Amino acid sequence: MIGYEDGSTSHRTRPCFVRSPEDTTRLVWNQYCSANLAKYLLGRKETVGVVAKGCDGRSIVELIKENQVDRSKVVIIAPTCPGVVQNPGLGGEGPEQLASYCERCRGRNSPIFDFEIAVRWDPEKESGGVGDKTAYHREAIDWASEFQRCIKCLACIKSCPLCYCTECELDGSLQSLVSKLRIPAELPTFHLVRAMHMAGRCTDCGACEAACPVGLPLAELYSQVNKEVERLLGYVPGLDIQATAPIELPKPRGEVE
Amino acid sequence: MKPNYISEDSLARLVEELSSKGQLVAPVREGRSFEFARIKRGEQVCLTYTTSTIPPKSALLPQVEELFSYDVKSGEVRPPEEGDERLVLLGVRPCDSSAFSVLDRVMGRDRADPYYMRRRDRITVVGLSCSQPRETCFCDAFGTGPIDGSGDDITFTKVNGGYVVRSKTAKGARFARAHSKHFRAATKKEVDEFESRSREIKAMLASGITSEGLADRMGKSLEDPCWEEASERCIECGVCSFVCPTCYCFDVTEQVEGDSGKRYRGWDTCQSCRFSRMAGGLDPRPTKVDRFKHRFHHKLSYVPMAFNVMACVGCGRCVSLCPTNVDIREAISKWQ
Repeated sequence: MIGYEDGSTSHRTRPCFVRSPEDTTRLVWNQYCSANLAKYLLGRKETVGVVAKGCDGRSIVELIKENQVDRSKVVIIAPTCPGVVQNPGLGGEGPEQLASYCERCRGRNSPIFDFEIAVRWDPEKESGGVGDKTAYHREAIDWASEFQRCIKCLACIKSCPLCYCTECELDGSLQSLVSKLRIPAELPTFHLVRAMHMAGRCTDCGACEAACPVGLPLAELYSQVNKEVERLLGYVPGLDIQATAPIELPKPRGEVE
Repeated sequence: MKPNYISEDSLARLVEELSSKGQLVAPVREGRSFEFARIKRGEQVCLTYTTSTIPPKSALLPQVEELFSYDVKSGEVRPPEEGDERLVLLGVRPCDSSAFSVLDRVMGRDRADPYYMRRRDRITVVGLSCSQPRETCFCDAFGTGPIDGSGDDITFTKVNGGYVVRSKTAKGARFARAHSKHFRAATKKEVDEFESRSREIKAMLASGITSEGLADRMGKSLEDPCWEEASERCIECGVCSFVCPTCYCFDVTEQVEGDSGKRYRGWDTCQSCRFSRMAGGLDPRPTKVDRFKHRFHHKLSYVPMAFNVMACVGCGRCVSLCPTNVDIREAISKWQ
């Protein structure tokens, strides 16, 4: 079973792999559980239990739709998420903040589960704006200067549960679109190609943003793309396991303006 | 050499002087964290920083650099355009400065890397003793801090109202002489304060790990099954090596437009599944666990055996920035 345990420093957790009932005492559940454990379901053959936040569960939904995860081999444990803190590893100064992607959360519990655990979080500590779908900061972000800071380490790709391609066009090894050795990243190629690949798939879990060593607001970028997908096609990734994913649609259901 | 003293005001003037010549690289605030940058205005400099996200090694090994350009038709090869300006790297923490000594052994020995050496010779390292170690710091394990870095040309240590300044190399002494108007001899009181603060800060670092005998024991651990479990949560993102002050591995690529081509090299990571794959598809490190343990063995066993220096300086960047909290200190404790 895959869950979270306390990390090696304060205010951190880390993925933990539990193999015996005694080891379940290691498991924790709190606002530092920012990694998306759906990543560890990829390529796994044995049946496995996984702890999933709301967004992680939505990632699993998308992975099931894309035939990357076999539902019958995953036991989903879905506790209510308190909302996670922004970039727990980046440190920095000032009080911890609720991650910006949690402010536009589509639901704290996984849409699919085998065991749902309703956790009543202390309202004092509870994340403020959860569910506020208007929490986008389009005007506030100067994307050109944000992208200048990219060091192209590709941690955004490696941390993303929806990135499972064995050959990635963006890692620069194919020498076609994007060179690994062009810093700052080609504009708009690197980040925009990735954003387009996230369209209709990204569940705004923020794993990329939490992994980014220079703290780029990547989830925000993908959420912009997905806002358009929702507007045009009425599809929100991961919400409904029955809904047809845009990639499977014979034709757009909405009017394309 | 007797220690000197520079007051906060004099330092501000020195910073202004160096930055007006475009010769200063120092830590600046970047969002919630800090980065080393070329200073345009003195007030950008932030010497109260704890650590930068990207280590100052980028002044010696830029993330991407041109090796040469060439004409595809004629085959003519041209060296890259380069400045010969001198640079002052101000505010380098002891761990990062000690990392320069590691790079010096690897890039600057018998087979000196000309690109590295050219930059190295031009740079004066002005070290800055730590005043506030972070939870992830463990320089005490390697003797790479927290007061002196082995790559310092000259070291600044914060005391009341200014800094106690000690020259370490001929380059550092030259720097102090060239800017002598900003320095004066430190008083006994200032030296005493420097000594008592140094003791306090050293006492704050108690990681409880040691590097003694580590290289040898680590070297024998290759087949140990513990690596399998330790690597399980690693997602192979490579952030650890991108933020590491001693990682020096690079990749080389060509960019050709029309008839003119350029060859570049840039940081690469052994955590990438392509790093060790050779032409024809042979890969000596085909699995995640192979790559995972390679990073630890390279730092704590191979480099120490080949160059007689530990390739970890305890800066803690990989610990704090790893998205899945892989902690090199746990590997060290296990094998120390």
